[in-house]
Amino acid sequence: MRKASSLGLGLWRRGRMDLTPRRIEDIEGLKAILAKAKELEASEGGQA
Amino acid sequence: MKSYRYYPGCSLEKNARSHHQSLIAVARRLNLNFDEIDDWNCCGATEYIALAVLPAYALVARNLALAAPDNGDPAQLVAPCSACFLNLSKADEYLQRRPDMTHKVNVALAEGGLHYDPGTVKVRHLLEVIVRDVGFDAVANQVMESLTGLRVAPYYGCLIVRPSFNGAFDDPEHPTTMDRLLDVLGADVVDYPVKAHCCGGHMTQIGETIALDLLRRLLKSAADEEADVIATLCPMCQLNLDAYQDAVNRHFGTDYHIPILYFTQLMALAFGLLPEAAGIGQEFVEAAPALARIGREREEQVKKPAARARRDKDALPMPTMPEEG
Repeated sequence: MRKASSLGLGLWRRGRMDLTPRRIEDIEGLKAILAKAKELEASEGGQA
Repeated sequence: MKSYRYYPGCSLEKNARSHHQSLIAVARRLNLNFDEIDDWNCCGATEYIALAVLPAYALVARNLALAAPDNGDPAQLVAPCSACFLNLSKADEYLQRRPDMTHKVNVALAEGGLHYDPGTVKVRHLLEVIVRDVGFDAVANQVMESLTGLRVAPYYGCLIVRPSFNGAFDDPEHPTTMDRLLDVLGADVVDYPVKAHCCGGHMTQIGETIALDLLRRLLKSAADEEADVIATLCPMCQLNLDAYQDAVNRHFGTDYHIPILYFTQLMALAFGLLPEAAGIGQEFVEAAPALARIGREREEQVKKPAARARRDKDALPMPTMPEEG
């Protein structure tokens, strides 16, 4: 964790990391897609 | 002007911002237009498909569906990140081969109001577009400040050249496309036998010792050839070689200081753009000393330090020392 923090700080200092991510506008749509895909995969015992 | 749909991917938004900046600058010179797809999402990087196959394909297919044209004509989607390129092209290829998987993916996509017909988006890597669609001659025509004297090790990494579906444009074991491009820019391209070896990917977070050894091999090979710079095309490779170079030195007692630049940054420099426009200065291992050898250091590093500004007349008085003698 400490090493990752040091990398994160180095990236942030060089303008290579944001503290907040870019938001996906249709996040609800994406969540629904992933939920359905997980449901389909689970219904087939993880065999896609 | 040739137009393409553009998928920057998460890395190019921030960590690999210099790649995005320089490729957009270079594209303008080469008369290429990149039209970013709306509201794209992460491609899943290299891990998600190992955890959950169908959700991983659905995640990627959402981007393909957003990139697909409404009129059904094939679209060309440019992905500059090697992992994004691989995921997008692999998903499209496998969905074309497996109608059963396509059906399930489309059932999932329908939940978000989307649909994707495999094969309607041709995924292409930026390097291939530059080399095949623009061509070496057109690139050479834009070279204003040759990189003559800069010794460059061309590093492709392991993702872009393998597997060889989707009309592979280079040899998976010994690619030469970027070598030729750098040669056109005037750089002295060194022999780099590890050019398609793995950088360790996310191994730095899992088994650091193994990752550092993989990185050491890449750095040693470049140092053995007295390379000034390693040119890369992959944000993961750039991050590992750049941000962990100091850790490699500490772990192995080495003293490598080899800047890792994107090939688009070197193109921008050769096209006469200022280092700032090429995103130079965002790297952990500074490129300025290497670029100074060809007279292309960052502007502020060649400027003399600015004289201290005169104090405002209305500022509080500062104590003065009595004059000696």
